[in-house]
Amino acid sequence: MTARADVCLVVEGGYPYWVGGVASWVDALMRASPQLTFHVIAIGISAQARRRSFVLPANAVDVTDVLLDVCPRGRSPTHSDADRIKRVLRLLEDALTSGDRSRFEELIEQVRITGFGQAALLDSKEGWHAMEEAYGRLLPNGPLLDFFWSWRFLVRSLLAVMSTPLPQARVFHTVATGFSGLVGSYAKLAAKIPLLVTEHGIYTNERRIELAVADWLFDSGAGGFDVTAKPAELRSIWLNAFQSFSRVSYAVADVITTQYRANQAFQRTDGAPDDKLRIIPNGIDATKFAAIPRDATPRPPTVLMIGRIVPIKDVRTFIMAVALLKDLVPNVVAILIGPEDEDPEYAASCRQLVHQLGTESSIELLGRVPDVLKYLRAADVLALASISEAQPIAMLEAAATGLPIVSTDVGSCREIIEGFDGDPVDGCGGIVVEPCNPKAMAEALATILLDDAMRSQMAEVMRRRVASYYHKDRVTRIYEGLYADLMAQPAPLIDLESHDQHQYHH
Amino acid sequence: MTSINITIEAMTRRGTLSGVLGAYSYAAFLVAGPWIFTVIGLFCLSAATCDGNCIDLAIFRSIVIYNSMYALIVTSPLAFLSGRYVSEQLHSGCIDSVFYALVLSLGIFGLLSLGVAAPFYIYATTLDAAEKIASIQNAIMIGCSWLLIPFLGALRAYNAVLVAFGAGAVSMLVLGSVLRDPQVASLLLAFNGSFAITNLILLATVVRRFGTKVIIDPGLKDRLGKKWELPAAGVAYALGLWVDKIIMWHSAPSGGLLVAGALQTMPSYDTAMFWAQLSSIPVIAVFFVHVETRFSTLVRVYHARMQERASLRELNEIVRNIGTHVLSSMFGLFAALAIVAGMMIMFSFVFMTELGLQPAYMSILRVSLCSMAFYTSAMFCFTFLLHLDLRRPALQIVSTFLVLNSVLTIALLPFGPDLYGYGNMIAATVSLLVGFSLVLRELSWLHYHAFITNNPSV
Repeated sequence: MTARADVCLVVEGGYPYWVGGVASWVDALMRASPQLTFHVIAIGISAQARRRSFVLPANAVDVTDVLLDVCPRGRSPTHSDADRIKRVLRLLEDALTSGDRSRFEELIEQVRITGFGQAALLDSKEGWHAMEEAYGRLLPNGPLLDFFWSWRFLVRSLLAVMSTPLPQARVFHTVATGFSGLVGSYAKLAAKIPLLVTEHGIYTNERRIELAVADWLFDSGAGGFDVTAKPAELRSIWLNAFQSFSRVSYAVADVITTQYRANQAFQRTDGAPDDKLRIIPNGIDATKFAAIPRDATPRPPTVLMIGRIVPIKDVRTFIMAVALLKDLVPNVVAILIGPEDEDPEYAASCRQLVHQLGTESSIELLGRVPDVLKYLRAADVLALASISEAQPIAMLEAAATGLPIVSTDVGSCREIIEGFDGDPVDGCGGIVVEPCNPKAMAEALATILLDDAMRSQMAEVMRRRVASYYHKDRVTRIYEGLYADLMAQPAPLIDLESHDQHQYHH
Repeated sequence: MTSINITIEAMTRRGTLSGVLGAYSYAAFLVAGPWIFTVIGLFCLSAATCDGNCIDLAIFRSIVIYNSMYALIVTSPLAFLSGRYVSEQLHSGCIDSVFYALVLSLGIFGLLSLGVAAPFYIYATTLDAAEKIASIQNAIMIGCSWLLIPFLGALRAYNAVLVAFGAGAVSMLVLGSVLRDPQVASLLLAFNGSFAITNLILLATVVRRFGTKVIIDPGLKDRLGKKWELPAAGVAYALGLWVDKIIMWHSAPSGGLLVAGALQTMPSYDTAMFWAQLSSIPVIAVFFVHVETRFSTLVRVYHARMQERASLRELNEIVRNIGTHVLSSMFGLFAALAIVAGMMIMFSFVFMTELGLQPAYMSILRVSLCSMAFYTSAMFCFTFLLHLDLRRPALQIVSTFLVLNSVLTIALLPFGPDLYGYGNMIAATVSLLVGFSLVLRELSWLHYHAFITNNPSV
């Protein structure tokens, strides 16, 4: 049996398998508090490869995988189960639409009592009947096939969440709302374990962006010939579900943290109570990064971009910006560092764009590199073109080394570059531009690259701001304090081992 | 099977007599080719002149009846499975292992024949050596024909089927007219030779299309595990057809005929039953050409619209159309079967001798014709369900018939010849009711079956 951990971290689609900002943050969080032990619940789907990209720190006791598309079959239903199946599926529908904590709590209880799983709720005739009714409510006259697969995935994922083997831990800490928030909520409701929810980006906003560009979703055309009808969209079902997951997580959590102020407004809109909200920024080893000397060897003006080559980072806008920048700074060199394996199709399209724009001589796509510091030292400005971000670690690290930044106005990038109310450090450490605007980004980069004095001043502002507010020691102290407060709450009322056995029994 | 139906229906729309005749003949041969051929063979070869001692003809008929029974029971599970397999392979465009499936089914059948038919003829009968060999050969010929038919059906090789059975029939006719006072062995050799011509043409067609390369498909075993209902339905279907006859042969207090030491038949029961079953073939051909074709077209429309993201309302409309088609065609076909039965009863008085009937057989013929109308209609339900890949309900129909046919035939035996055939008729009636209710029930769950039961991605 796995040893009891102090904190159970619940992560969706990242640590320890995928490299990314949140995954790196999770790794750093565990390493920053070696006196605490951690258990990681990694949420993913079965089609994703589960080859570890991180070496677990010594204080990580174990990793539990929760696969959203693999749920228990449960017991086979009998004729007398029809009403119970209908009731549980109505509760499942509520969990996907209402975000009502009490309904989710009732759902957990009903699933536990009835022992229903996929066999009863999805593969039975009663389950089909209930799905048809849900279709009538959620996507009337929409494509049945699309609703079927969406419903099936969402219900299976909820069942997978509610069959998560809960590890022995004193606090559950979910690193988003969404499915990880639901797992944390399940732990809190089923086993009374204190729950801390940390949101880097706002989950519902990120999913909204993903769904907006998802090619497997399309306008249903439902509504027929009635031109005044407002057709229900499949997209809205998914968005409502994610919003509902967030509402449940907010309602159940003891404390909700995020890294910057703008996020709190979204959290309040999605129902997060004011008294639970806290701000805890990302922390980095500012001292270490500040001590890295700048590379003084002569070089052409160099722009650096660090990030995964995925659509949300809008690498294509950056490439177009560099193409425009060449007219303003002809000898500019742009270096792109980041893994390309998450979305190979998109990465290929980026390479093709570089070729189409004739910028092969100016842009280097290096993929994953062993030593990012080498490139940080030898760059003149860091660029970030994302259409959604929270508080990018790469930006903070670059800032700590004394690198000015040009970034899109997403997440807390403006706070980092321009400061915030009560910030002890005055001044701007770079330029903020609107997303998806290559021309604005090119002009901002040119402004910094062509003005040495401005560049030095911005570098200094960045270095000082990160050292004062984003230092990992300060952030670690805040988290440890929060964990201690939550651990001080009364002990769980339910023995987890017997709880899990009860689940498996069904 | 969908595309075969469409091909046949297209033949009827050519507007020529040859097209219509070809379509119905092809449908009939696909459904019951070896059975029709066997009857033709019996009819032709029985016409060979017989001077006084006709025991050889009786032995020949008994051997062919036994082999028909054996071949159908043993090959049905293999044919059901291989037929589905070859259709799926052709549909997916992956035909590498089709010849392997044929070799495998022929191999299994060959082994079973060596294990069952050969010892039976060698040790249980009093036939001479040549007759024994010819009898075993006969069992294999009939079985091979049943095993080849699904492959030809999947290929839509209607010309090959018509030529194969046509050539075999001509051979039978010629040999029947040439043979004088034939012995059992020569009758069997003539029969087997004609069957061999048919089988060779069928086999050549399969080989020409799929080649002779044997590429093992490791997924075939999994398929058998997942679709065990298909071979089970095959066994139940074939056993159901023969079980009452087997019971009658061995348990009826009078009317039995024992030849060659072990070949026990009952001509009064068998002849009536065979004619009744044969009379259903025209209606079966109509079902196959028109009703099943329309049904499969509607089901295809349903799946196409589902893939094209139709709404539930639209899919419900298509299901209603399918239901209406099934109901109307079932009533229409039953009426047609009843008319055929009535006509057969009338004709039987006129052509009693030509049909090999005797006055004592007439009551059994009447009952078996009624039974035929119910049984054939039940088999239409069975076909609808198999078409929707609802294997378990389909298995339920044939299992119901098998169990009831066995139990009721045994139960009614003590009541004497007046009730011979009634067990079969009641079983067929109940099977029709069961089948019809199952079809109606499952059609109302068509969405569920399309999305869940038959969805390999679920």
